[in-house]
Amino acid sequence: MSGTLSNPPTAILDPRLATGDAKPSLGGRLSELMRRRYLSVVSIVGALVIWELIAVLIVRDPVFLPTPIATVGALIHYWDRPYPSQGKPLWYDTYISLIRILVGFAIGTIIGIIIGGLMAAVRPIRSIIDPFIELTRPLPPLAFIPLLLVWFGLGETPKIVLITIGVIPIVTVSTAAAITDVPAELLHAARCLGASEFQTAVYVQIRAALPQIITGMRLAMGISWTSIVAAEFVAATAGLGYVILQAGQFLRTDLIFAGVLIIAVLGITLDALLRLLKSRIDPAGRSAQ
Amino acid sequence: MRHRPRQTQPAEHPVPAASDTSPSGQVLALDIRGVSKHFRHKGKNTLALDNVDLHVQPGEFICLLGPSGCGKSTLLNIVAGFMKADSGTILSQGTPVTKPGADRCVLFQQPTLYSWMTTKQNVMFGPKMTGMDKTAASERAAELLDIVGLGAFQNHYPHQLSGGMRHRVAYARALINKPNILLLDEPFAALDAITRVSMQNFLLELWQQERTTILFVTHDVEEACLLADRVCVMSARPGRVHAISTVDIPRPRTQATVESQVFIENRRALRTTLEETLGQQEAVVQ
Repeated sequence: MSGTLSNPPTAILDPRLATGDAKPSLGGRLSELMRRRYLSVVSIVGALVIWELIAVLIVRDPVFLPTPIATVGALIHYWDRPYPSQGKPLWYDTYISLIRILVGFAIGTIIGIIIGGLMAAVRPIRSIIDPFIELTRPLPPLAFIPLLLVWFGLGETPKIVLITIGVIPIVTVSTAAAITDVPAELLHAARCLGASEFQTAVYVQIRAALPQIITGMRLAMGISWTSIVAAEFVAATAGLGYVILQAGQFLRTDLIFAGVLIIAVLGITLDALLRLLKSRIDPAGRSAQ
Repeated sequence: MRHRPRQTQPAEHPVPAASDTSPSGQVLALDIRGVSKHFRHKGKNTLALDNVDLHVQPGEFICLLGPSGCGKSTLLNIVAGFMKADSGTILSQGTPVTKPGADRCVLFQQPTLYSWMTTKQNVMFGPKMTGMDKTAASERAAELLDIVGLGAFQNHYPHQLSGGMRHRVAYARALINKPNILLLDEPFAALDAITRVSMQNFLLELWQQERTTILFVTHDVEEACLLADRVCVMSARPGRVHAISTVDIPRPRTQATVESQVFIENRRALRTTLEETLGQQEAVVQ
């Protein structure tokens, strides 16, 4: 059990390994990111400049089209100051919407993963649940709003339930697919290495499926924002959707844009968190991101 | 996915050292007796394996060689415990095979490493599952990675390694459990020619150093001739053992062996034997 095999590993010749540096420094990664995102940053800045120019030079009507600067101004102004027609500052509405999203998304994800896992594990369960998933998937969750209002009234429950029923089918389908798609050889290899069936399921099958499950969660997060804004349009006394609706009724276009801006930033942030989680658990996908 | 309490399966662990010391000992590394298997496909019954017998001595390198459809992979899957035979028995170091176990480790065409684990974590997967002492497993993993020439890549992830390196990790991962036999299912078939030669050398050296029993499935006459002590030539439809040839080439063998007279003679004999099985097959078709 001593000594090394004489022929060197073929792949030391691999150019990726020639640097001998598996993890580039933070600075290196940042500049790499800058290089890759350079065009995106330019296009965003360019769009803002064009927007500002159109608003100032062509439209010249802040009610019809506020400038980006005015939008940010309205956002900052009302962030911690109550908006007259509502009596609540913007941060409060943001907080309300965010809580609804997070609670609904969490419940939906947990239920979706459980159902999806059961569908992947037990074939009869898959056959029983599949038609219902296929039936509900093309339905826009918004169609349920009136029904949920009748069932659950005007409180928080209908909003959270609405998000939940939007999230469940997406997470269920992606979980079931992710678990079934794990190559059989990965599972066979585990059994040959001494893992029991249960260990193989937990440490290999579910673990290998996680990145794809998170991709499903990212899709579901997108749907959640659609659902919550729509629900807050119809029946709410707080939340970003409610603010946007109110601002529209008072012709405060700058505040409409401010609300949209907050939703965009929150949406990107939550998605980035999920992407970060995915890259943490899927080292192979990091470079491909 | 069924929940099952973890088995300790003491009987399935290889008997330590007993067989290594006595090459002519009574306990065969692998004893295949009268194994038959048929498949039903589109209402048609195909006899994939017909009453196959094979005895593998401890420390032996044995190849299963045959045309596609001769059931060599099926036999390997049955030995591995992934598949049940219709009849016959298989004893691994004297213990009947009923399900997959760490005593019979399969290496596939793909290295099947776990992409979320580093090289070392991959190698330590087996000991972690069987509850082996972590410090001992870690030391042994480092030692095995040194042996396969990847000591400097312990903390790399599989996607950072080349194809050949990933295969080497797979061997280290298999050997850490001290399996009674390694089952290799056309392991080099998907590799490019250069990596393939390099992996053949690697396997020869590894086997000469570790003295594991190896059952190697291939359809390449030259590969079988270079690697094996004995070649079990199989014929197709139904899958039967046609002949068991002894490869009479001294060890240690290297790629240079391929050019020697004795290799060429052995290869010619083996090819003739293989062609006989093809002739039989054509006779059956007509």
